[in-house]
Amino acid sequence: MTDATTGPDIDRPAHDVRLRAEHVRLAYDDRIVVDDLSIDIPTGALTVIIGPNACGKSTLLRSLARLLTPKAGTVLLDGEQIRKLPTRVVAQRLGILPQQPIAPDGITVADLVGRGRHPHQRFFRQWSTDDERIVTDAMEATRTLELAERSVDELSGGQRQRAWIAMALAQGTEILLLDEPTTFLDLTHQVEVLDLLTELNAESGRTIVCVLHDLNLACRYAHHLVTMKGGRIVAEGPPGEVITETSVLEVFGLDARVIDDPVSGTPMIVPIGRHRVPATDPHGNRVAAASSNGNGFGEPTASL
Amino acid sequence: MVTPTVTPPAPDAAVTDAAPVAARRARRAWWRAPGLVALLVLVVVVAGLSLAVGAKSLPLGATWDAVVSYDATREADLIIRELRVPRTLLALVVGAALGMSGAVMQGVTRNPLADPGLLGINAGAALGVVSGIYFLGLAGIGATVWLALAGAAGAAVLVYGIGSAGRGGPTPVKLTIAGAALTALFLSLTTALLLLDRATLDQYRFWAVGSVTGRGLSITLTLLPFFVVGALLAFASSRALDSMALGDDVARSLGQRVGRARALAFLAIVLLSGSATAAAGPIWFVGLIVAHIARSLTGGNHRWLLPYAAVIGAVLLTFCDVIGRVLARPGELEVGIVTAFLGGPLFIAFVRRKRIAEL
Amino acid sequence: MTTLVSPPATGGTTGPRRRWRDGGFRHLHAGPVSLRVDSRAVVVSSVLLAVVFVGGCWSISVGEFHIPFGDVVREVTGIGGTTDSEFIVQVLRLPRVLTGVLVGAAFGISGQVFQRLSRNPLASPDIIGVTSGAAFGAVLCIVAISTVTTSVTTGALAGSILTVGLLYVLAVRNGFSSYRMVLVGIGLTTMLNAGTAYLLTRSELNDAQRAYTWLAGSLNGRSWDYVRPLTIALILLVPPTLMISRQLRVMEMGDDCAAGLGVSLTRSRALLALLAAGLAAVATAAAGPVAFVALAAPQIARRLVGERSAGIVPAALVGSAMVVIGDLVARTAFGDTELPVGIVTALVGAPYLLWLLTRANRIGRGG
Repeated sequence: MTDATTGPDIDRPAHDVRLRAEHVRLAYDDRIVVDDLSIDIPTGALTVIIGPNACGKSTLLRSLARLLTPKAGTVLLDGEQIRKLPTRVVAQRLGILPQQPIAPDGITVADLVGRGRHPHQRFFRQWSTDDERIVTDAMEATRTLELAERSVDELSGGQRQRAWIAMALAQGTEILLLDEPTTFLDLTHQVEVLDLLTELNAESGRTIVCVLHDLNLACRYAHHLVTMKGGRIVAEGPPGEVITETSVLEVFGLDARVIDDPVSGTPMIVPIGRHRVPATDPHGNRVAAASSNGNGFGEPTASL
Repeated sequence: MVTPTVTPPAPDAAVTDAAPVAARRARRAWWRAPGLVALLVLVVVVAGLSLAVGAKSLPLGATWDAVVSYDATREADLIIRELRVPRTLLALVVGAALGMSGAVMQGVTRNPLADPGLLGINAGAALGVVSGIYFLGLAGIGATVWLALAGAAGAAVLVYGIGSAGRGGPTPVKLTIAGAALTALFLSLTTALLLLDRATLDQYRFWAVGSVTGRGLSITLTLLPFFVVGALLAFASSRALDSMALGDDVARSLGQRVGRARALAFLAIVLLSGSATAAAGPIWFVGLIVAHIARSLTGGNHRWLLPYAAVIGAVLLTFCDVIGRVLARPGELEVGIVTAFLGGPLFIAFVRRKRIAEL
Repeated sequence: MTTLVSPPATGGTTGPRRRWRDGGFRHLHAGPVSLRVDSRAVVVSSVLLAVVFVGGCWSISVGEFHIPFGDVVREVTGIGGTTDSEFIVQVLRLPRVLTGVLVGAAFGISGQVFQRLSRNPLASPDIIGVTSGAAFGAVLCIVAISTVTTSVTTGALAGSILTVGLLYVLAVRNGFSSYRMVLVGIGLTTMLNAGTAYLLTRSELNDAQRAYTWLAGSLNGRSWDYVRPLTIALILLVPPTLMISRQLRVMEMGDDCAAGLGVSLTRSRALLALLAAGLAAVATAAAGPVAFVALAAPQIARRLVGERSAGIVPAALVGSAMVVIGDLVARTAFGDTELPVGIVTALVGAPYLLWLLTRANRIGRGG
């Protein structure tokens, strides 16, 4: 039984890990993106991978999902090399929601979600009662049941993403990988989707791995956070341990303050840029300017 | 009816290779001008070859004599003057025209597979020729050449018109679709006429192969104005083609009048390719192959690409004609056949070698 | 026992509403077998089947000897005993019409598969050189072995099979890429077309004329010797196509989604392409390149049925209808002259397609 806030006991012994990569080298043609990377995905937890652009996080996720064959090293699913397993078998254990999936014109939500049952169907078993029940359950869990007969094109961003997640859910896998599921959504819908993923993880112990761009949402929702840079893993663990001001600087090249999120208590990254910030000394203490006009901001110096 | 081949819509990033762009550009820049000069020398060499070599072997000295001190009573001089000079000239001009129109076509449609034949030009010319033979009883190339040109132009205009209808104007995809459908229609009309009259069929089947023989100097000269105007239009479109290669939106933001530029380029294609087909019949692959070779040498800058395409086209076609004369002695293989069987494997090898991005 | 199970349109059940309508589809269950059937496709297909039947019977009834429509139906269905026209119907005209039906179906399916596979409304078996290979083989036979007629069919079949084989060998490099296949196909097609044109110039006028007639696509003189092998070929090729085309539904969501849902992309694509090529090859061998049907029939089917399912059956029936009705028109509309059916299908089909394109362009779908 997992707890929505603290997640499963991640210090369990290694044989509980179902999905892992060992010393993988990932490349597109001759361009090596990831080299000699190993990672164990904790079962039953919500893992989030973050990192700057082009650090290889999507590439890693795709290799875990068997969409990209490693040039070296292996990806193991339940102890077996994922490359050697039949595609259909993999599809029954591991589901992936890729970036920017294509919804064919004019299909309904129910039709879309129904396609998630494909790995379990055959030419003569196109729509069993099980399929019907599972699809309905998936739509209920993602609160898209009331949208079932509507066309996917006319949904809002958040609703559409929930429909895609319902499809992945209908696939009935215990492991779910999502590549940037929130990238093109506004904040409300981002939170909506992440809340949904949390529920899916908490209620059924599903292992969820997603790549996110928003650092603060990643810190809030992840049980296990993985930071990547330049094709390597910089750090992984609970967000509280992984995210510090130094690690943020190292991974993202970003000067930042790290405070406790006032809502959830998880780490919250507050960036420091070049403008719109009060003068501070290296310890982050505000320095009183020579002629402060009372609102905390020093007046611009004459030499500017 | 054999439906003509269809070009798939262009991928956005057609062909990539590993070397970084800047290094490639630097490598090319310095030798573009001398390269062009070298190619022009090659043109002269190939032209000389075309004069000297033929189904009937003549000693080299005879060629020189024919050019320098023409004597109408010597048989060798006659052969060279009356037969080989016109065909050499025609091959050079047609080759240049096809090469250039292929390059422009690829620039206009942003499709590395674009071939002027796809705009219905070959099919329109064929219909024009057959109509002339069937309805008007015309015979011989000289008579049908105008109808061929009219047919080619008419087909291209129809394709452009239909492809432009509706939202977005003449986008590459719509033009291609319209071209394929119209080509099928014209080819079926052509076949219908052919089947109705044996004599028409007998004449047409020789035109359908693509050849530079049997056409006197007069054909080349009558069509020369079209070639020249087409070439000028193509050169004038160089800058426009460069910016259109970045996409319509970017081109517009750079101040390019995309619609007008495309129409002008289209006109250039019709003039060049239409007159080439009218003069020599349908010749396959030259536009496509030449444009690719030129592009790999000069990059996408049309100010260099077009002259290179013209010169390479001239060399290629003339060379193919020479080969055709040599391979099938004492007979001849028409140049259209040679380009297809030489260009085809070249094209396939090219396709296999380069890493082509998925659609 | 078959029960029709489709969820009720609106709720009205007690408790939270858990029913939804799978719009346009009917679910059929019989024991372990369950099917999900597109109702609109079923209706349209039934209508098309009727059109093909009526058109075919009408085509049988017209000709030098006019046979009453009723007699034709009796002969064809076997109901009501035989009539005087048994010979003409059974031996001369029925096989011709049947060939037309089968050829049209084969082209329709082939075109539909290619278009769905490549997500390109212009895709057609031509692209991979099947019809050009067949044409070259047939013309070679006509020109080189000018007397025997069945050799033409063999030549066409050999030509298309060799072409597809060559295409496969050339196109496979570090795995199968459909784009590369199309490119190589265009190269091969152009070479074959040039070769065919060359043969036409090197032959006697009589042979050239026969060749052009064949190239136009014709059902003339198609007897039971054509129908039998064609039927066998379709029995072998169509069921696997139907089964594998189920994957198309998932493949159109993008390669990543499809792979994630357990579809082996390379294998499915290669198999489907091969089956579609095979269908086009046998159809071309039987009737010549009536290939415009492969381009237009799927488009027409799409506008009638939509794209909710793979649409194999509707495309086949549209293809059959096109060829049968085209043949009817070709034989009757021009008085005594009998045009080859390939010309009629192109003459009527191409303007229709162009009209559809301008309509689509205006509405904004652009084909």
